[in-house]
Amino acid sequence: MRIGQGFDVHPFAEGRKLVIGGVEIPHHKGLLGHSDADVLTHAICDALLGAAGLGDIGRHYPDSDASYTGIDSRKLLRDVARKLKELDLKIVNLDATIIAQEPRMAPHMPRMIANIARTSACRRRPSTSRRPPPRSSLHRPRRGHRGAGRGAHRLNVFAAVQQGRRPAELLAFMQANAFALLVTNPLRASHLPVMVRQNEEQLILDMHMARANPQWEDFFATRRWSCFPGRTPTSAAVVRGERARADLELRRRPCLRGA
Amino acid sequence: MPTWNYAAVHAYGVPKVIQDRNAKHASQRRLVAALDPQWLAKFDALRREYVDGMLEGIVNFEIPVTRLETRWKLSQNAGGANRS
Repeated sequence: MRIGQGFDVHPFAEGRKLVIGGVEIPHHKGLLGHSDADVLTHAICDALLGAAGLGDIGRHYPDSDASYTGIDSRKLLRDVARKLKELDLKIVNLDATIIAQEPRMAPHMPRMIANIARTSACRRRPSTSRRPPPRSSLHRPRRGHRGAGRGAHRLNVFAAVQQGRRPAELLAFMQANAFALLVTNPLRASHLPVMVRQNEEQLILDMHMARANPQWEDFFATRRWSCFPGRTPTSAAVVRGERARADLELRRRPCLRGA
Repeated sequence: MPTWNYAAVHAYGVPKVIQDRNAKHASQRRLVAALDPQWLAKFDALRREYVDGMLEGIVNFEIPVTRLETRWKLSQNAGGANRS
């Protein structure tokens, strides 16, 4: 696991919008900046880039570049998320603290959290959860008790990212376990052999079933209740490892975790 | 807690049925070559009419994967001694 730290500060200015975490907050002043000056999103980008060892936000999106003038900072975060994905890095945790005297942040937090989770493609977990520390969560940004200098928003973010499984490893696993469960909508399932091949970047599963099996006809069915009428339903092929079988033995042994 | 360990991959995509006879044959041949290589010579020696009849009886399709989900639950948090 790698940890990154992000920091950003923007001064207040008249006649500017106040955008934090992709939420436009009604206020008589806004934040000054080259982009939309979304201090929260910037600090998160910075922390994520740092955790991934990719430098800082200024290196990737310089304010000398006119194409970033007034840009919705969520576009930057989406781009950062894409960079992480390319490196097989998954966001494990994001913890952000907004330090500002005004305005009140609390009413806008649920939307900020939802925005950031959606844009960075990570799941949100309610901070009221009593579960142990979540593996993939977004902590609620907190409003600091004291402003950091008059009329400025300051923000600290810590982000953790974790290496995902390498695609090559996945491919090998799927090739070694060539028996899949094909699940289609409306719900139907068949156990079928599967051959996995890679055509440049595209992973393709080659499968077949008996013509008498009615499941293949569902490939052409459309979901009547679907929000996307006319769209072919997506199918899922579930490939399960041999290890699932081998490890059944383990189940009988009590795990001595913590002993 | 006693627990199950497993590794699983979920691949999502829209299936595309393959109609072309030669493509279907090639796909079945790949399957035999990978999973039952000892049968490959016999497979190649089969009469064409027979193979065509068998191919008629199945539906071949491919799924270009648009989403992959993986789960490796192998009790990495427990020590080696507890695992085996």
